[in-house]
Amino acid sequence: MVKLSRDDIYIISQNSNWSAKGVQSILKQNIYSSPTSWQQFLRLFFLSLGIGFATFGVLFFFAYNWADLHKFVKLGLMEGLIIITTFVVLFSKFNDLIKNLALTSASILVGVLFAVFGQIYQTGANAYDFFLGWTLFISLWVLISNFAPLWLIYLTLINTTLVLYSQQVAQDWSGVFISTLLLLVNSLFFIFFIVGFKKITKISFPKWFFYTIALAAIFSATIGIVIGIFSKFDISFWTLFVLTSILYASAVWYSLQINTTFYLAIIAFSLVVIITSFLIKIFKSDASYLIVTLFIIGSITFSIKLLLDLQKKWTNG
Amino acid sequence: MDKNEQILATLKSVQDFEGKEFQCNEQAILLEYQKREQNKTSLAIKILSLFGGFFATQSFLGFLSLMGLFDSPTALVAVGIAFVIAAISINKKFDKIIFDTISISAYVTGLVLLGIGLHFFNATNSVIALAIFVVAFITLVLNQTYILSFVAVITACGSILSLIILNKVYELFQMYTVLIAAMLTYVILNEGKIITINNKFSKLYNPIRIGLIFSLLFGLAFLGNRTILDLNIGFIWLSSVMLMLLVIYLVSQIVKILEVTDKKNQITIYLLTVLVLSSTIFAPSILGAILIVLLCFLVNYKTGLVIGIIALIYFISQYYYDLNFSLLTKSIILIVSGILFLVFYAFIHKKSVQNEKI
Repeated sequence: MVKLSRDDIYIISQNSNWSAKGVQSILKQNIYSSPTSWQQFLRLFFLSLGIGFATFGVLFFFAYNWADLHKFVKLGLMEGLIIITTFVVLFSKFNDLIKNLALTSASILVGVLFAVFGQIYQTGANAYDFFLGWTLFISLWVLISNFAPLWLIYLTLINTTLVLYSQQVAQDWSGVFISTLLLLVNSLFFIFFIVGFKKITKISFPKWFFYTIALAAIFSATIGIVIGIFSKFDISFWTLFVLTSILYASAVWYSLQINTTFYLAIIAFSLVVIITSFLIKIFKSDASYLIVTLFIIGSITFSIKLLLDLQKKWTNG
Repeated sequence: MDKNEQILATLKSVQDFEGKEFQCNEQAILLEYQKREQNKTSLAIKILSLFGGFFATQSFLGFLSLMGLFDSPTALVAVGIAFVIAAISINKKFDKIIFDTISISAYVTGLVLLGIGLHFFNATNSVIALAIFVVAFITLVLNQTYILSFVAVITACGSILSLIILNKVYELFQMYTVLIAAMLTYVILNEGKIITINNKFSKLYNPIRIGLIFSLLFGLAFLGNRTILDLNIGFIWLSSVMLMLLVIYLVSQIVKILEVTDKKNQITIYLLTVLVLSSTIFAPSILGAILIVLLCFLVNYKTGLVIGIIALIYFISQYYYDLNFSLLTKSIILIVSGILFLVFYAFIHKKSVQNEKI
């Protein structure tokens, strides 16, 4: 008996006189969950619920008594947790995935430790130097980890540090400048990962990792240029513009090399947003809305057609 | 062609299974497969067309408003209805993704304009909600594409919810939730029956299923948030009891699937289930989420399963967050519940190990 999928059953039943009973029994045999998968599911379900509830019970118990704990106990508890997780990473016999998860939790616990420190000694935990300290202290762990989620957390921390720094200390940095900085940082990491990792460690990261970094870079570039369009065209704007053009061109070239449509799609979207804001700025009359509508429909249809054609060429050619 | 041979082999095995009366339209089936193969798009393209359709419709609306649309109620109602009709016809004629998104944006915008126009005509809010419900229902009758029907189902249930809120009859939230839960159970457990009624129902099945899940979640969210939103709903245990009955009915189906024949085991399962569920007597939202999770796993509907699990985690967290006990009491409740679940797990683990030995 050929293995049927749900789509197959729907298509066939729409174009034949299949009886209701027949369809239901085929669905039961082929698609609905079997007894073994039910057993696995129920076991996993109750195990997760049990462990989750018990863990939260313990956490709530500590939260209830938190204010009464001596400050050394609080700090000691956090540091103890970090030491335990690092021991798990170094000395246990679990597989690599669990060790990487433990290292990630250790890195997050470093941040929690600094937050507890800030709460006890009232240093003001939202300041940029909390994030800066956190970033610096986990740098070494991140470098040796080769674990994509941990690297993403690290990059998020770097971005957050830069944004908070510009908001709290260097308040004379324009929006364009901070966007340029973010674009540079994210693009450099992206290029480093694509080029460097293959040569050094031969471990490749999953696609969503690269997609997220590219999204962050293109997002900051788009925001920077739109801010620049609606303020003034000064030297920092033109620097960002040139930098963005170079990066977009190389991203398009890279996309065509490795046959993915993702980067092309988000670059197209970013270009539509930029040109739309430019059109809104130069046409200040009522007609601007109509022009903008027509432009958006035209450009998106054009880009989608282009991307679909490319995709067909790659899957068939 | 390899794919065609595969399809014909599938058809033959269905024929062997069904017997002599089975007849099918092979040409139409092959054509349908070809159409699906050609229309595969990547996720990035889907998102791009979503944004494109949305922004294009909004910009067009901005243009219309600058032309004085919002000054005339008649124009608002007329343009609203025109948008809705345009959405339905575009969706019927064209099959590409960009037209899908334009029609969705046009549909939603049309409904909004219709509502605003009726408001300027001094219609009461309940009348507006009823009008939108009627439009959504007619859309389901006329159109069977996936996304538009899904939006229509959500709009219909949303308009009923707004009727309840506008007239401040908050007790009806319980009836709404129980009704939608019963409908969802019927729809999911009778998949074979429904998709063989006629082609319209077959195409509407998927959007109605996911639409009912989301509508149920809206109702559960209101029941779960009732202290925050200050809704005075008495007898909240009524809906909990009804939902519990639905879940127990589901458990009886699951017991049949698992082929548990020993009477003692059956009684243990039912007892443990009632024990676990009775702890949620004041939280019908948790029961509803459990219902969704069990139903979707039964029919192997992965999207619904993920949505159900996320909803379950959210409702459980919300319930314990709102609970009016001290942290110490809460921690003891949580640890005791955790142990109860681990007992259930040990029971199932022991049973499955026994089965493997046999």
